[in-house]
Amino acid sequence: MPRTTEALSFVAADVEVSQDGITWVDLSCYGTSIAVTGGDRGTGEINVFCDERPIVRAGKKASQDLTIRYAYTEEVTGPFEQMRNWDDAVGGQIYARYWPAGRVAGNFVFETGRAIITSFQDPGGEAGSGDPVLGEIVVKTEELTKSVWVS
Amino acid sequence: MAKLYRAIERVTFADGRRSLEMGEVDSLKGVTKKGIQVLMKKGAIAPVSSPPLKILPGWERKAEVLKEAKIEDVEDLLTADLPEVAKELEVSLEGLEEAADQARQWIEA
Repeated sequence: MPRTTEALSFVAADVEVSQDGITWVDLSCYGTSIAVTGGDRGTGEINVFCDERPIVRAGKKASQDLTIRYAYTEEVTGPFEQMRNWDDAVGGQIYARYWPAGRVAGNFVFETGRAIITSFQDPGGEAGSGDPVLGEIVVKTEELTKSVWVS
Repeated sequence: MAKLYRAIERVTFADGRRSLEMGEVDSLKGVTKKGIQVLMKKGAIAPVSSPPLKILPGWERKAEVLKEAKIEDVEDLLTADLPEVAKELEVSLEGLEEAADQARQWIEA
């Protein structure tokens, strides 16, 4: 089978966050990376006396974590200020969604639905580095749903 | 062009309306012709053929009444302006909405 010509990179991704799932903040011009972890399915296993092989059975899936890194700025209405306020609010509710191939009709969008901010990092850095300061937010969701985007 | 579509994949709308879950049927009102073409090309939706209302179980009488408002198949009912139809036929809007829900469930099954 010939290798695929449909592979894509993450360079044109779009990402948005919201506190209520209705009004969205576009992070695309601040966001630098999106990492997804978790969602693993648990398994259990036992051994029986008569066989060397284990008996393996499937458990349930774990929640997923979405880590978004973005350029830190001190704009009054910038994403750092907005998301810091959401993290301060009771429950840390947040919604996040991203389009790996860009926010274009027909492309996939991955959505957290109602999720929880589990980590919000204030800025840090080194004296000698010229690298722009990054902020980081980690969001926990029951699952990422995949949809086709239509405008 | 068909007026009813079944979601083969979950569909999320830019205008913020409720996402269409896999298997649900919708008229995709407000989505541009180009948007519908893109979704069809992606295999995310498929057109649904619309049966006449009179073949739905127990709908003979309802179908006769709705025919007076030129509503003859499921597509007509699900894309109709129900408040206008309720006024025209002098029936309750609630009853009409319930009928539309029933027709939607039947076609989604």
